[in-house]
Amino acid sequence: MKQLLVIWLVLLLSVRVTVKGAEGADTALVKPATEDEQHYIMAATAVDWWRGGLSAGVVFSVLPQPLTEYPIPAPMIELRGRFALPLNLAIYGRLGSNIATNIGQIGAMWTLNLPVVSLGGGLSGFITYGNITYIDGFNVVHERLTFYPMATASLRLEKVTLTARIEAEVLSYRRSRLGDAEGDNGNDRKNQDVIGYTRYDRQLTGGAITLSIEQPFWKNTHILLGVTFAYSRTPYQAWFLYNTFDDRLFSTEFFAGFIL
Amino acid sequence: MCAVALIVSACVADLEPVSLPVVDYTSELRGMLSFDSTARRLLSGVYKRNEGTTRFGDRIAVAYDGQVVTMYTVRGVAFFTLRGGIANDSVKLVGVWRGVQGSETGIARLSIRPSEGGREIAEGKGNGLGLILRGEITTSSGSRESYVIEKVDATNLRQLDFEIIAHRGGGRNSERLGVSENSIPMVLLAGRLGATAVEVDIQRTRDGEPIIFHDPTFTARTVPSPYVIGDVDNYTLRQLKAVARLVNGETIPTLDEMLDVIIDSTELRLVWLDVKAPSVMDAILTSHARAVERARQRGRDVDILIGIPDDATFSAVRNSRLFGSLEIDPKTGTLPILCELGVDRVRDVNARVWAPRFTAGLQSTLVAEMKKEKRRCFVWTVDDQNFISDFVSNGEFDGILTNYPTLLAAMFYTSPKGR
Amino acid sequence: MTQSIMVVTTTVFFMLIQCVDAYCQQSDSSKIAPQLEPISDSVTARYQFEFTVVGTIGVTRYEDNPTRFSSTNRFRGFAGLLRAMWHPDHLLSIGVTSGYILLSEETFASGTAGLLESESEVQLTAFPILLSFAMQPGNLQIGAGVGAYMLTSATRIAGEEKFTSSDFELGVHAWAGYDFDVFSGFSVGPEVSLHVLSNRGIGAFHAGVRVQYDLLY
Repeated sequence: MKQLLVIWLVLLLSVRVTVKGAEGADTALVKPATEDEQHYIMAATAVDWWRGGLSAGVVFSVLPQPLTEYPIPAPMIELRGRFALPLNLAIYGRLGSNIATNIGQIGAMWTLNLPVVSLGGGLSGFITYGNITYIDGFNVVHERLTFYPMATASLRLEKVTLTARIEAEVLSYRRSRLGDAEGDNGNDRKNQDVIGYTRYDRQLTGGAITLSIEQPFWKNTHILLGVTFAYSRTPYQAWFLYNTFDDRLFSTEFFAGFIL
Repeated sequence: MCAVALIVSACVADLEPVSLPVVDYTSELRGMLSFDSTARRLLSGVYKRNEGTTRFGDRIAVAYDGQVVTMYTVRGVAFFTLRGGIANDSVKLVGVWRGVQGSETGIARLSIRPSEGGREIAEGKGNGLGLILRGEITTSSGSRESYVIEKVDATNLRQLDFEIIAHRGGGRNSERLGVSENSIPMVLLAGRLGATAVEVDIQRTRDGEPIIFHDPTFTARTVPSPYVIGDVDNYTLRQLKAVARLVNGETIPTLDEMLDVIIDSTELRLVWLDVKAPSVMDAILTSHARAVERARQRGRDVDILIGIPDDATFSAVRNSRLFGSLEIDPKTGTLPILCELGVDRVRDVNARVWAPRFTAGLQSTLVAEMKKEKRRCFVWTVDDQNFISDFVSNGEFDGILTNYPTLLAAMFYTSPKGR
Repeated sequence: MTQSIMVVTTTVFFMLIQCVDAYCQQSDSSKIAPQLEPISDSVTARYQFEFTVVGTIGVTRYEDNPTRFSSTNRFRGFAGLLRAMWHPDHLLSIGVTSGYILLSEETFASGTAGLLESESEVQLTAFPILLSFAMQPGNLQIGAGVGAYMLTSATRIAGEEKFTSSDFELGVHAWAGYDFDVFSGFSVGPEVSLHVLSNRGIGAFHAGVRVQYDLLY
């Protein structure tokens, strides 16, 4: 309990210093966010209250080849956003879809500005809804809830902010149905031909490191570029590759977006 | 940074190969008598765990393939291949185990004391119920764990009328079984993996030879040589035999070579020829007829089925000048054809087997209809443990195609249906 | 393991580049490229549109010996590449790279490994089509490209007619070059480059000469 109190005191002190910095007092301890940085999404930089950004872009993944056997690209369109709250808190989120896989993520993080770097930590929930019933012969629906605790650090250069984020992947809930997308095969089987399973088994299934860069690209338009290296037993885009295989697999996900 | 991202996107992470531990069977089993068929039958059955490691769960299926005693577990998706012998009314089994979900592996040393069933096996009496296998296993981390299991069901697992069909001859390359998919060594291994049947894929060479290969093109996944690229049917058989080696060093077999090995050197009772090259259907049917005759001459009861996965193959079979020479089975009145299309097409070609995709669900009504017409029903390709469980428990299929025959064997044999 | 090392090395490499680039922007731009006018108020660029021709020789390394007759996994090769780049306002320039690369060729004498009845030949070439990114701190240019390599193998086995077979593979290309200005718009300099087709276990390291022309000089 005492340790918690000490941690909170340190955090509050940091917030105070950082907020002061963000308001314009350029102290030795902090470097306030620049106007460019006020737009950034992945960066751990603490920005002014209610400021933030929204990026629209694409994600390009190559599914883990030991499962897919061929380099199957899985492109997705997505929105990423972050909005600052008081006390250096921020909410961040992501929406994406490629019709087969649809994702929604929302989380909260706390950030801290230092002279050259910014630090942050947070937790998000990630919902996956997969549906390929529109493909003849693949009458499959899948839902999944995953949590990602994360820590992030940003290197704030003159025209560029580089961010590294490390996340753990905690799978909490899975539900799959085959045979009849309209049926329900949880605990209440309505259609004898429908099969599936529901699992509430919280487990650490992997982790990911994301490297991103946010910078101005064309006049005053900013871009977000990044890559996620995931090492997971349950890559979210590979939900339809039903498999007993249980080794962790390496996969990469490249994302790029224009910050609106 | 963008470049970094793109570079990494193009990177591929291979799975590390799995190296099984080496066992010196000669010295381990020196002075012991080999098992005869009675001993193997007495050992075979369903066991429960009494003591020791829980990594393999509470139920274990024990079967055999030739001289090799095999064990399959649901938990850990493990299989054991054990050699053994009898001396002084005691039985000893030694071999390796492998968890197919990942790369766990180790050595197993088990024995049966005279008072715990060893004498019964040495004398060839009884049904083996209550016999106790005890010993230890080693793990990948080098630890040793005790293991004691007891036979609780004496069903002869090999006699059950259910096909455990191994995909691509036994499993894909990603299962890292030490032999390549669709290769001769893979079908020789299939029985030890629990398979009673295999599915193999047929492509064609430029000179019209049916070969056993899955993909339409060569990639590093199947043939690592950088000189062997592009479409499979760009190459003549001679060129392939000269330069193409599968990931574990084997040559690509022809259809004739594969069928000869299955007939002569395995106990598999069904072969599913998944035709991916309908343009050489006449050559395939010629090989089929030759293999059926060879099996008959050798007294082998093996059902060799021509697979129809799509409309093009359906037409090729129907229009082949050799279609009429396919032999009708006197018991069922069906042709040696496995049709993956709708039931109307199944009836149209009088196929012996209807094989729908697993994503269509249990399809109980249609399965019942097909069975009424004396046709068998298989489902493909089920690899998820949850769905295998559903098909085994709730489905009425006569066989399941899977890349995990060890898991299916364990689930089916330890289920109420398997007994 | 090799791929992991490559990924980490490349990542660190490019992050360093970013740092160098950012540093260069903070320093006096007139020292970097005294003879050129800045194209925006935020950065100094050597060019807006450029074409580069690169000729290199190098070594190709395969993960394993490429055939059972091969006695090595390293081969000499050469490449001729063309690159067109556009440099907008800030840090990055983007463009395309293509060309021809001889990755390896081998001749097996009759009786090699006791398996071939007469002389045989194999050859592997690549035709890259790459989306490229580059940065230019001063006269240095560092870049990378990703895209498809159309691989073509040409084989003649034991007296049979030579035949070719082709396929596309994902691959990446990284390069570093230095430009010495020669005359209006033209520059010449050395370039080292790397091609990696990790799916096929192919890596090729090359060194040679680049000739660059600034279209809007």
